Amino acid sequence: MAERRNAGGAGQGGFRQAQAWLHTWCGLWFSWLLFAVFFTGTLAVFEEPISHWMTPEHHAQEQAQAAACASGQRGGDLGQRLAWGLAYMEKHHPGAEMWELWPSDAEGAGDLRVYWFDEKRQYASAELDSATGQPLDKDQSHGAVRATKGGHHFVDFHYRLHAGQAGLWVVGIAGMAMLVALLSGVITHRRIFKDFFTFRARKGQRSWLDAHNAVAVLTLPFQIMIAYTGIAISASTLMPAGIAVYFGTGSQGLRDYVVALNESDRPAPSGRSMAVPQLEPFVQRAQALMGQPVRAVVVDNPGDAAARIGVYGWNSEEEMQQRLNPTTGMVMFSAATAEVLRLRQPGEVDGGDASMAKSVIGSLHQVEFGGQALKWLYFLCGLAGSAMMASGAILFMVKRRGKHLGRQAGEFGSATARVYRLVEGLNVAAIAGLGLACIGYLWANRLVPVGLSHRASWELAVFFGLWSLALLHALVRAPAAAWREQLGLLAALCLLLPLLNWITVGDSLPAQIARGDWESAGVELSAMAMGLLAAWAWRYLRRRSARSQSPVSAGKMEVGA
Amino acid sequence: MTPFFLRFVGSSVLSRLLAAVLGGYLLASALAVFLATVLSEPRAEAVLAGMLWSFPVYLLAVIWAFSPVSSGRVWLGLLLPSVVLAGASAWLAGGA
Amino acid sequence: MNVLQASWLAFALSFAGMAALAFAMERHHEQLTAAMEISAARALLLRAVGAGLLAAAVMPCVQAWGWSVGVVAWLGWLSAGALLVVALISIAARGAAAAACILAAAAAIMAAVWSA
Repeated sequence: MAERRNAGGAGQGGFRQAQAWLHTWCGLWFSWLLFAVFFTGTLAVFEEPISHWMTPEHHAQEQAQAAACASGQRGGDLGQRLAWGLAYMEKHHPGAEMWELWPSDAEGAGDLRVYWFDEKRQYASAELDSATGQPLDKDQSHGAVRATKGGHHFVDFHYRLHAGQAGLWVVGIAGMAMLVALLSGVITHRRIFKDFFTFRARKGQRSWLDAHNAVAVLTLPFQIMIAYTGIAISASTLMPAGIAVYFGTGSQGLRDYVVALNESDRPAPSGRSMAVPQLEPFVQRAQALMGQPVRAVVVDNPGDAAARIGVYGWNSEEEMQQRLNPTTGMVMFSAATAEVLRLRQPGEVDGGDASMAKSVIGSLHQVEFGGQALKWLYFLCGLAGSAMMASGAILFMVKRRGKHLGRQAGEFGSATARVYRLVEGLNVAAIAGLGLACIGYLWANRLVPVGLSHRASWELAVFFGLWSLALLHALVRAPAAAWREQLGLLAALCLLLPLLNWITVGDSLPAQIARGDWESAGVELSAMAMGLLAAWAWRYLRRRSARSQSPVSAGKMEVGA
Repeated sequence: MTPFFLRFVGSSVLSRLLAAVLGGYLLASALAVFLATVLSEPRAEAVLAGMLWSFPVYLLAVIWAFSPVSSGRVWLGLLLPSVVLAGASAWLAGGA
Repeated sequence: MNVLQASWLAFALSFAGMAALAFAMERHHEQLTAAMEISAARALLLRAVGAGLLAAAVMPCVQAWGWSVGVVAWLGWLSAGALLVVALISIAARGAAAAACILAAAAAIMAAVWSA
C-alpha cells in the first residue's frame, strides 16, 4: 500500500517524474508567499514614482526648490557647505571615529547633511540649513506633510516582509524554493522547445498549463537571475559559515569581515592630534580625478594625525544608462600629507573579482542601470514571473477540481477535500487579495487624515488589514464567488484611483500629463491597466458562472464550482 | 487524521525533505568554507566567493535529493561530502 | 540613435524573429497555412531568418546602452517579443505573421534612417 501511494511520489519513478513531484509540491507550498514577494518586488521597481504619487504636498515644495535653484538661490557654495559641515562636527562630535558630510546634490544645490555613528554604532544624522549652516530641528526639516512609507513599503515587504531578520530569512528560503521550482520545472518540461510558442486558449486545464509554461519559459533568464541575485544580496546573513570560521560569529564577526573586505588598509589612530584640514581643496582635486561631482566626504579618525579623507562621487543618469556596476568614483587622501592613498574610478570596486561580482549582482537585482527602458522591461518580466506563480497555484486546483473525492483516498487521505478547500481559499487571498491590499494601500494614502499621528503605520495597517479580510472572505465564500467578488472590488479600486486622487487632492490625470508629471500619471495609468485586467477577469468569471448555471451545462463537468 | 499523518509524513518523504534542506545547507556551508580556505585571494574575498558559489550547489543538492535514489543514499550523499570538505578545510587552514 | 529608437528597433526585430522561429514549427505553421507539414527547406529558411533577426536585435541595444547593459536589455527585449508572439499567434496567426513582416521591414528602414 505504501508503494502504491508513493508511485510518482518523492524520488519515485524516473528522474523526470520525481522532479515533477518536487516541482508540484515545492511550487505549491511556496506559491502564495512567493507571489506576494514577487509582485511587491515588481512594484518596487517603481518605488520612487509611487512615493512621489503618495506625497502630493511635496510636489509644490519640489517645484519651489527647483525654481529657487534655477533663479540662483542655491544656498551656500561648495566651500561654504563643507566648512559649515566641518564646523558643526568639530563642535558637536569631536571624538567620533568617523564624520560623514553630504554637502549637496549633483548640481551643488539641495540639502546639507552630516552623519556619524552613535553609541550603539548606528548611523545618526543631522541636517544643516544650506544657506546659513545652522542645524535644523527635526520639525523644521522638510519631512513630508503627509507622513508615509511611500513606495518603500513595497521594497521592505518584498525583501523582509516588514519583519526584520526573521523576514529576511523567510524570503531567502522562499527564494531558494523558487530556484528549486524553476530548475525542477525545466527538467520536467519535456517538450520545452516544441511548446515554446504554444498557447491554446479556452481549453481549461490545458490553457492554464500553456500560460504557466509560456510566462515562465519565455522569461526564464530573468527568473533565474532575479531569484539567484535576490538570495546572493543577503549572502552574509543566509550563508554565514565562512564568516563565522574566519572572522567570528555575531555582529562583531560580520563587522570584521566587512572591514576586511572594504577597508583592509584603514590605518589605526596614531594618538597624535591634528585638526581636520579644510575640505574644499581635497574635494576639488577628487572631483577632477574621478570625473564626478562630490556626493559625500568621509573623514576617518577625525582629529588624529592618521586621519583619512574619502571623497565619493555622484553617478549621472547618462553614465548609469550604459554601466552595469553602480559603484561611484572615490578618492582617498591622507589628511596629513594630502597624498592620494587610493583612487577608484566609477564602476570599479574596492576589492577583487568576488566584490565586483557581488556589486553587479546587487545592481542586476535592483535594476540600477539602463534608465526607464530597463525598469519597464524588469516590470514586464516581474509581472510575467508573478503570473507564473499565480498560474501554477491555480493550475494545481484546476487539475484537481473535477476529481471525485469520495470513495478512493485522495492525495491527502481523508483530509483531501479540506486541504483542497484551503488551497482554493489561499489562492484567492494570495492573488486577488494581495492585489486588493496593494491598491488599498494607495487608497489609504489618500483617505487617512494628513495630521494623524503614526499615519504611516495606519497605511500599513490598511494593507495588512485588507489582506487579512480577503483571506477570511476567501475561506468563507465559495471559491468561484470569492474570485468574482475580490476581482470585482480590485477592478473598481484600481479603475477609480484617479477619481479618488481628484476628489481628495484635486489633481487629475490630464493635469498631471499637462505639467509633465509622468511619475504620478504613470502610477495612475498602471493602476487603471491592472484594473482593466481585473475587470476582464471578473467579467469572464461572471459569464462562465452564468453559463454553468444554465440547464445545458449543468450536466457537464465544469472547471470551478 | 492519524492514518493520513502516518501515510503522508512517512519516513521516506520527511527523511528526504530533511536531508535535502538540512543536508543540502550543510553541504553548501561546507563548500563555502572550503572555497574560503583554498582560494588565493585575500581571505575576505575568498569568503565572499565561497558564499556566492554555495547557493547553486545547494540548488543542485536539493534537485538531486529528489531524484530516484533512496533517502538513505541522499543522506549519505550529502553528509559525506560535507564532512570531507569540512575536514579538508580544517586541515588546509591548520597547515597554513 | 537614442534609447527610444533603440527600444523600438530591438522590440520590432525581436518580435519578427520570434514569429519566424514560431512559424518554422509544424504546429504553428499549420495555424498559418492549414498545411499539415512544413517543408524542411522552408523550416530551415524561417529558422535562419528568425535567428538572424534576433541576433540583429543586439545592435540597437549595444548602440543605446553599451555592451554590458545592452546584453541585459537585449535579453529583456527577446522576452517581450516572445510573449507578444505567443499571445498574438493564439488569437490570430495570420495577423501575427503579417505584423512580423511589417515590423521587420519597418525595422530595416528605420535602422538605416536612424544610423545615417
